[in-house]
Amino acid sequence: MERKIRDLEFERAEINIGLLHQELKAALGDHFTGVSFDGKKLRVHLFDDAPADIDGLAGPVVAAHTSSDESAADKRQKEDAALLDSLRGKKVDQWKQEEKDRLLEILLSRVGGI
Amino acid sequence: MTWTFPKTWFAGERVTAALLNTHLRDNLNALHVRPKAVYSNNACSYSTSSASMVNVDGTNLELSIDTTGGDVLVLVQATIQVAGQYWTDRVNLGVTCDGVLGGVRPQVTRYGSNDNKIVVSFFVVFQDLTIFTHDFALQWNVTGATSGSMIQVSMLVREIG
Repeated sequence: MERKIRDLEFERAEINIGLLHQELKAALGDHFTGVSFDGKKLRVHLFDDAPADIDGLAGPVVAAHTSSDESAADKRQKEDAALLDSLRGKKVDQWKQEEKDRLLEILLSRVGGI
Repeated sequence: MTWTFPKTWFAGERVTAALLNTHLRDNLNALHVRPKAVYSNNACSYSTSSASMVNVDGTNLELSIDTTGGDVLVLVQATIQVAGQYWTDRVNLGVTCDGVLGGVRPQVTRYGSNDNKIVVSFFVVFQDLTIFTHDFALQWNVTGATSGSMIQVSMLVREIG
């Protein structure tokens, strides 16, 4: 049985959905199940049984959100892309051990190993 | 155009214009003009991080038809992108009728980069609906993934009998 959801709606021109999700999760806890965005309207999804005072906590978080900021996952993704670019320009015997270790992690994640 | 269950005719019965109009003209029109609703967007930018099933768009992708009773077919085609871990993280899709999920719930799993586009098509048949206005909504959520995006979508709702 799906739990009932209710939405809070806000106008936003841009969001970083991964980062905003983290920010709202930190503020709203387990009452929060995610956000949806259509390029103009932002919907914050709360479980229907969330207390009403939770609603007031979402607005300030949405207002303070900066879409150009990066989440930890965004940073990791950029670092991984930069690592792959740098390794492409080097011979294998020039790769550092930490670069090899991270490359192995990236490859394993892509084949479903971890 | 409303459907009237066809009457049973008796030998020697007088056929009137009213009977012909009701049981032939109106029923043929009802069969020809089935209730339907359509929405297509070739350049949408929906995204979600919701772990629970939520409407993709509470306005455009929530279609209503006045059914004449019977089965309703919902066809969906969408282009999806999944941001998250490879292979394990996914976007799940579904269609509700009056708020209740029905039929299959296709799963779209990430492969390659976040930018890879995956086209998914599926249909759901809602059976034996009553004569009424029914609402059909496309829903989605993410499992594990950071977010899911939808960049193209078409949805057709049509009574099929």
